[in-house]
Amino acid sequence: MGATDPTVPFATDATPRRPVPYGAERLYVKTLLKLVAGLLEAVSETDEVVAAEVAGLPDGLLAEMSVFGAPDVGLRVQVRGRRLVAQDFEGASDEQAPRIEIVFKHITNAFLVFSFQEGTAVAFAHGRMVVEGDLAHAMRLVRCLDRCETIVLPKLIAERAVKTLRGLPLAEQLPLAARTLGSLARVLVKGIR
Amino acid sequence: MSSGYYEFFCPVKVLAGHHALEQVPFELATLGVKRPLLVTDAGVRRAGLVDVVVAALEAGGLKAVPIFDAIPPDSSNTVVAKAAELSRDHRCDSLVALGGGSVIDTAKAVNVLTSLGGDDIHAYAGSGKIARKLTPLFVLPTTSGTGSEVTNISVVKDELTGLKQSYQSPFLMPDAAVLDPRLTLGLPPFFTAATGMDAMTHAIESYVCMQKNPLSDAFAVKAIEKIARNLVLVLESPKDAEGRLELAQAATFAGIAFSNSMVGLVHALGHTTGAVAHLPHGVCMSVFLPYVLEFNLDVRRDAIGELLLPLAGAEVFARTPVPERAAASIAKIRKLRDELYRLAELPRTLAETGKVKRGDLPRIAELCVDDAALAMNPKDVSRAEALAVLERAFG
Repeated sequence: MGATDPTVPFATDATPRRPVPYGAERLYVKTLLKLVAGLLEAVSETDEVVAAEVAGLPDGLLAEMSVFGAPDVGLRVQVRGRRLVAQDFEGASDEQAPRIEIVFKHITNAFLVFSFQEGTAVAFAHGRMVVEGDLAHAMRLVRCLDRCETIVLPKLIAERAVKTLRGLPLAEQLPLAARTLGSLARVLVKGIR
Repeated sequence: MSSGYYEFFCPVKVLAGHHALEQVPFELATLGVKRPLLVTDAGVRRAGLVDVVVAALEAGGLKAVPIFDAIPPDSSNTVVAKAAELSRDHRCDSLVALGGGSVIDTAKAVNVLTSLGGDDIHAYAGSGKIARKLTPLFVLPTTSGTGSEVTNISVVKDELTGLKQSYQSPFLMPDAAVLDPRLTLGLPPFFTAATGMDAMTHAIESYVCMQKNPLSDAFAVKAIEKIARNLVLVLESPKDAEGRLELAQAATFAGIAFSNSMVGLVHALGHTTGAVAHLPHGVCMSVFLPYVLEFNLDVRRDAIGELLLPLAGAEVFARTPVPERAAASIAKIRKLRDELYRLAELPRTLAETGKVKRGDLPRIAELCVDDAALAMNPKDVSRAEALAVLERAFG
């Protein structure tokens, strides 16, 4: 008996199976978000374009990315002058600071984005996440994230992640990516607090 | 673009057609309403529309309806507080909004204060601060453009800072939208043209931008078709009740479409140009629409080409080769704008508005890239690209 037998409803081989178990998705997204927080701090140190965007945000602004139903999964960065500083997502945060929150409605939605199966803008268009806070600030942060992805990701992956890839010449991208990854290493060694 | 997933929401009951006003008392009664507050503006009152509506309500058993008619074109939190106070003084249990975008947005904000309490609408600013169902709100639009009768947003100026503050919640959606041709018959040509192009832009951006889905597409296409067929006809024959009703429906359809699919660069440029140069929203929409379609053309050629069917009809669509349809759609919109300039002096370029200086453009471009409407534009827009579109639209 199988899916081709019309007399058997819900035949076993027709049951949808998850390509990646939820637990694995959760672990992957948790790790990736930590890296992204560190990368945002790193790129704000190494790239003048990102630093200029950050300078347009209010000092002290907290930007959080979280996942509904997974309270330990997320990232938090804070604006300090022209820099973004990664913070421990599970640690206490300044309740009085202005805040932007991007919430994925499910761990799978976050997994689709951070495994580059669905671009950030497409995921937003599909209602996979909600944004709370000042949307003008959110637009600026998205530009920082896009620029970061353009710098550190290979073109083939970056064009899946961002809406419009504004690629850098390789001679410019490679040294900038190297400096950014070096800076990321320092951030991770120092630890995200 | 295919939608891997989409959401669609519109709980507003639409009462559309001749004698729609006379249906209102019964529909209010089904929601348990006994004493609505009628909110409107002085212009609508001078046009005699308040009398028409009050007569219909009273004939339906709703006597001595209190009226607040002091809503300015650019309403504020102070106006909202005053209207809420009047509602409480008369122990009103609902709202009927009669007017254009400012009246409707004010009524939504008043409904928040009268339903949830407080005198400062600011406390509910942003997204998701309105946590439960509000009292009934019926909207009777007197323009055919904003679509606010079917959206979940209210925009009200903060008198202290002068900045526009937005409020967003599914609970802001009205209970009913009443589209009666009598309400728009007296709309002057310039406003008919500007609001018509506002609705046209809602529909076209809904169809072209990233959050489009099969349901929003259906509403958008029908809205475009109705505007393309009726806007010029109504300007030539302003008392054409059938045409007016078609435009009113088109505005509502476009509102349903864009509130489920969002808008894009035309609106981002329009919001910022409106803020810098104090240009009416509909004028900005009409000015920017063809230039933005040209900007988005390389990533949305198919969708823009498909618009030729509702814009120009089946015959033109069929005889236009597929590769030429997108350009033909844009040409059709330019032709419509020429007609609107001839009939209603609706500007086609920023220069024709007489209110924007070339020197304003860099500042508008700088503000534009932070506008949330850009999030759903099919292409990212840099400051330089926004400035280039503005330069072309300047004329």
